[in-house]
Amino acid sequence: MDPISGLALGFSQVFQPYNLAFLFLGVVLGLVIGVLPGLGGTSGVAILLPLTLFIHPNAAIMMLAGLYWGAVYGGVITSILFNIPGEPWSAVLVFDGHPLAKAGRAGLALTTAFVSSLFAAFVSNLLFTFFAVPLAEFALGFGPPEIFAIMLMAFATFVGIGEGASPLKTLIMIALGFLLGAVGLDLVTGQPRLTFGTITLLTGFNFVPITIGLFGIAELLVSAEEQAREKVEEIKARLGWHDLVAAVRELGRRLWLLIAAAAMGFWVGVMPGTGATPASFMGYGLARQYSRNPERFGKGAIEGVMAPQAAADAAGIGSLLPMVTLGVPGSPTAAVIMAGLFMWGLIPGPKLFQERPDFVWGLVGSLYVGHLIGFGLCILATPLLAAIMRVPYALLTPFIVMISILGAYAINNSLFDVWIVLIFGLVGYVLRKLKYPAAPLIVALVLGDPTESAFRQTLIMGHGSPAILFTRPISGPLMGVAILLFLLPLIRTVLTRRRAQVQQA
Amino acid sequence: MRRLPRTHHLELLVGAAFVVLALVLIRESVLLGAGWGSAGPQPGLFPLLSALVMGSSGLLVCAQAANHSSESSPFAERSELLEVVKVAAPMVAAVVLLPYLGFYMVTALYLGLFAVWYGRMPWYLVLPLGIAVAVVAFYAFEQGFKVLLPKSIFYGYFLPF
Repeated sequence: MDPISGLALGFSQVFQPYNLAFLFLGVVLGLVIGVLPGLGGTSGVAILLPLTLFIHPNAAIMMLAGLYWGAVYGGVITSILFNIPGEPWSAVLVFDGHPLAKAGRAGLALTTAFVSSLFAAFVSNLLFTFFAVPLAEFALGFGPPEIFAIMLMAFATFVGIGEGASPLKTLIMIALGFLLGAVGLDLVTGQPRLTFGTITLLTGFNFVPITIGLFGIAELLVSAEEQAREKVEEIKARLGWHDLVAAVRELGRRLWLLIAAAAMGFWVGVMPGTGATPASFMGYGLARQYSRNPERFGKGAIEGVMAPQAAADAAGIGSLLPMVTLGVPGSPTAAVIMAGLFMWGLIPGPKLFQERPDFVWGLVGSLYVGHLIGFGLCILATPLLAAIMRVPYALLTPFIVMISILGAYAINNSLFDVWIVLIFGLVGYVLRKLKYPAAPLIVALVLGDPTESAFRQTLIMGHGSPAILFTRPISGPLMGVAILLFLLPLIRTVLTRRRAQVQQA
Repeated sequence: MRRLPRTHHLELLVGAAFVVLALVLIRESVLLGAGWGSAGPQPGLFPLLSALVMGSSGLLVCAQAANHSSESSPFAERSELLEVVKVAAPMVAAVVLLPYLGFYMVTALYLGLFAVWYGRMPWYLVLPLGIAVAVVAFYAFEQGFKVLLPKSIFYGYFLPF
């Protein structure tokens, strides 16, 4: 199907009242989750994932993707007004957004972020629309070695350019994800694996309770610590028509920066493994590097709000592209959404375009409409959203815990899954404190089965030798990149040591 | 007063836990067969490789923690840890009570009591709120979505939840 008729099909899906209602609900929930500092977009998607079992997949994917965009917009509000990042990908907005707000230009800072987001979203949506089909068709020719090489590259990205996490801890979390995924019946021989003779473990670990625990509950516990610290300042903001005009004018003056940030963000998003958070920091770096007066950064430079937000939003959209076309999520949030696809009985990957065009193009259509909804709500309701920040933690916590329990239980009607949420929440708190990254575990858990089956088929094709991975025209270079990424931390350590030695001498 | 655990103690503990877990899983994988069988690679191969990565990385994490023990900071402030326990304990209680009191009663009690005890909110405001949320949830899930959630031990005797 060509992109234009695909898009037409997509919009006809989005504008069905049932789907539109769930898209709207997703964006609203995303905005609320984005504003709440104790709960991130990834946890939000994870907590709501089980509830999507009760609605049609086309509406479910729109709701979850809408939640992602809502969280991308919502995080902006807390970063700029309260100096607290509501989402990790909004953390960088604190540097320049909050100084702007303090200087009485909160309205301008917020509207600029929203307008940049919307603009970047449209650039990336166009890229998404026109790249999806060629990429999927290209991927149709992939055999197990190519698929395994791409999966390996996704994990190598975590190790090589993970978000400040120790490469060793990243490796541990990836391996733990694979091992948790391996528990249950072996996918080829049907033998019970790693079940230690118990019957409970025969069905394996479901990724949803683990994700809810590691992200949702662990995040709540980490933010419990912050309750022991002092309260935050708040700046009031009301967005007016003049702010919108001023923001569009600012944007027009820096159109190229914005297009560059969006294109870069989209690319970062498409790369397996990394998502909106690193993209936002890279967007900030880009803006500062090409600024005529970089000394203003950190004191309220409007580019410091514009470029990171554009890059973050573009990366969010980009991260869904490899998810639907290749079956490899581009970001942790995309990984959780992909878990949803499996749950609804869909297999992400190139064949999805042929088997379920209504689903794929509905998602593409909802990218456009969802962003417009998010933008509209932000412009109209920022003061209301900012008020959500003041909902007491003591009311919010039990509420989130009970929704998490409900979701975990509803998947299999099993109390075992509820215990999994709790255990992974408590363990996840300690791991988070020790800076073990949670995202690689989730991605490994979701990708465990596909990675293993690609691995085993590759070995069968190579008669027991993995050399076939390096000799095929597409998997060869991919393996090269993957190995380079795996070695990157080692190379970096050697270089720093050598530099230190030179300085000492 | 006992000293608080420092970060490197926990690093060592968690690293060692991963090593032990890896050893157990390596044994399981080898018992399962991690070589080449009639249908290609045996089921234990992939878990074996994963466990080897986990175990060796865990050892290195321990080594790093032992080397940098002098730079270690406290894992968390006492006041912070206290907050975490105060938030975590009711969560555990809610999960433990779930099979006895059922989802709806636990929701009402947890919401109400946590807000009174932790948030120091007036009980006459939050207890009704907890009950209201539970009632709304009951009608939404039992009747609306037809999701069957855990019931209390009183279910069927004189209570519909």
